[in-house]
Amino acid sequence: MPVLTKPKLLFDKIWDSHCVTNLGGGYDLIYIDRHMLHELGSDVAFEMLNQRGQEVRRSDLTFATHDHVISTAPGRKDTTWPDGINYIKKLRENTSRHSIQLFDLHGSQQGIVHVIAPELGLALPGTTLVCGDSHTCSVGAVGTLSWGIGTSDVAHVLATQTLVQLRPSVMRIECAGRLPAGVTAKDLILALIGKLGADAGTGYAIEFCGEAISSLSTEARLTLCNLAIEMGSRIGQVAPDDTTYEGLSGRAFAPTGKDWEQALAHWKSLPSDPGAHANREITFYVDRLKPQITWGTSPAHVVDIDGVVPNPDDVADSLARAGMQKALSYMDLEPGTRLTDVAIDAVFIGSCTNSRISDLRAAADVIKGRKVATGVRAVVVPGSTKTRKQAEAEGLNKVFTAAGFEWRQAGCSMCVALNDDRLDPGQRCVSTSNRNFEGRQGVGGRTHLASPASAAATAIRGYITDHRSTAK
Amino acid sequence: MNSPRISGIAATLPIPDIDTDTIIPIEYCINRDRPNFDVALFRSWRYLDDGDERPEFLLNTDPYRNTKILVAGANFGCGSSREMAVWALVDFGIKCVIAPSFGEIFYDNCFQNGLLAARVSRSAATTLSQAIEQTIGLTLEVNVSEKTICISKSEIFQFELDNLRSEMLLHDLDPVAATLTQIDAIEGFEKRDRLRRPWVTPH
Ligand code: SF4
Repeated sequence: MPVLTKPKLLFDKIWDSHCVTNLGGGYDLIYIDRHMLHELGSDVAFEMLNQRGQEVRRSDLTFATHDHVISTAPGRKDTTWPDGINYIKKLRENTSRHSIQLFDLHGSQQGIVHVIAPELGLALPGTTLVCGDSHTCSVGAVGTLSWGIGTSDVAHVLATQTLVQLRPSVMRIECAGRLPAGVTAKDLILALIGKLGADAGTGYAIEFCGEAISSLSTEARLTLCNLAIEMGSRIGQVAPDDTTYEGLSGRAFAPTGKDWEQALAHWKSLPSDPGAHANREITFYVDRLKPQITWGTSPAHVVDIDGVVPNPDDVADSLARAGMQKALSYMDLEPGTRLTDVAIDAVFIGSCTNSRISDLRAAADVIKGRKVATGVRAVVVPGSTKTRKQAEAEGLNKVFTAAGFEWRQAGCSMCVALNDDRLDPGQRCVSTSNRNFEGRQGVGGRTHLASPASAAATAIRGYITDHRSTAK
Repeated sequence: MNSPRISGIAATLPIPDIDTDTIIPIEYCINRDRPNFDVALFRSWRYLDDGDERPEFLLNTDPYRNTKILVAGANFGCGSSREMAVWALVDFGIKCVIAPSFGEIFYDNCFQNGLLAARVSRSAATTLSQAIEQTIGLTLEVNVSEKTICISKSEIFQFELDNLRSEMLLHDLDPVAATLTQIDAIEGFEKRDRLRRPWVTPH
């Protein structure tokens, strides 16, 4: 008789194959295949390690880059942004002391950690990857099991190459139908967060599946999984498929030759088995989705771009109402206002959400032959040095600068406002990043999240704009 | 063993989705050492742009400058993984945060730093918030071993906490040292894995 094995989900297959030992009470000791570091998230962790006189257990599985506290100015130097000098230096010292590969500020492979991990083929299907940064969920887009951790856990991984983890439940979100033209993965994930809530994914690993997901490019899937954390979930995943494999082959650190063949055979066994069930299954129809824009200070505060600012009085839950009122006052908006009547001061195209080549192409498409509205500061920051060079080879930088955009060097930039790329108090910005929290883009700054095409159209008109209404 | 009891003045911020950027803005996370992260706790809610206190903000009023226990809305600590959010709370003197749910990375970070994150039902959080708003300087009694929060002898609420976390709090466990007791299992895993998945190690 054939041995019947229980059908398993993508998540379970990867989790189970990385369980070093069961610790009881729902906890497992999970082996980590890739540990990504950046200058801000690793600084104190190295201090913890060095103080204890410990070595990095697997420096060959550990990779680092400079992205957060660095300048993005053209021609930047170590010293261009003074607050970052120590971080840049310390990461160099620590990676050299522990023989860890560093994609240095001035190197050709530098970039935002979640952009370079898939770009360099470091994030692979069926592997575990962690980083001291919450948006590590992004790289689940290629079938990786990845999640963000705090400083103490970074030190734990450096010392042991493992993490003590409570096994999460799994939520599967089937995105049925096809996205309409001009509606992107960013709009899809914002709409999902708006519908389900900013904590709907807490306690779950999310698998995105369905026709709308299969037809997305790897880059769009990265955008989608990037915002899993804004739904409360540390982990977002898409099962690997031919799109994934094509995108990975030939990447700097992707397996080659016999290794590739063996890896591919393993990867093809990863998608969830028919008959496997998640703890929570959701179906979301995407056929009629419109571009989305946030109005408040949580990614769940989102509406269709042709919609109006909602009225807290229409909401029954008193806590949610209090949150909305606080958001309206911070954002200086009145209920009932049309979003497309809201004037803006700045536009930011960048961040690990939307700074890959396809994002830059989509924005450039909208901008070509047009000019940024008077008084608007418009900034484009590619997610990696490779992406910047690719865009320059395609002439996209010229499209941006001719329109009046600043064309900067790769880094987190105005997503986190740790350098001089930031809003002034009271300024309003449409941003392709992932967080519209109070002060996220600078003290007192106001952020509206949207897709690159929406952001580009907004820069041209000076008001929040549905890019489909301005199509050439 | 640490005392299982935490008692002290409780304050409430009954707003959902308070993110770690709000708990401590990023510019106060850099080039700073512990225990000085409290100066930036809820920075923009607590201070005006020129650095003066906002007199209306609860933690700027007596007796709430000595808050030990904070009750908040759901999804407290969502967003960024910055452990400085926990350091800011701990450096301020907070020993326990109570909410219906927490950002997951924040939740993990709490227990790495001896801060109790107590998950309660929505109705318990609401009742606790209301009680705090009604009585200035209300003191709560929290018991880690019994997983209880008491307003008075008659009003007792349960919170959720698993054994591993309560052990971490009660015994100041060092997680790295604890994992290193499993070193044989880790090495065994690596040995088997090299054969099973040689493609994982980059060349
Ligand atoms: S771009 Fe923004 S969200 Fe992404 S890693 Fe950098 S700071 Fe974090």
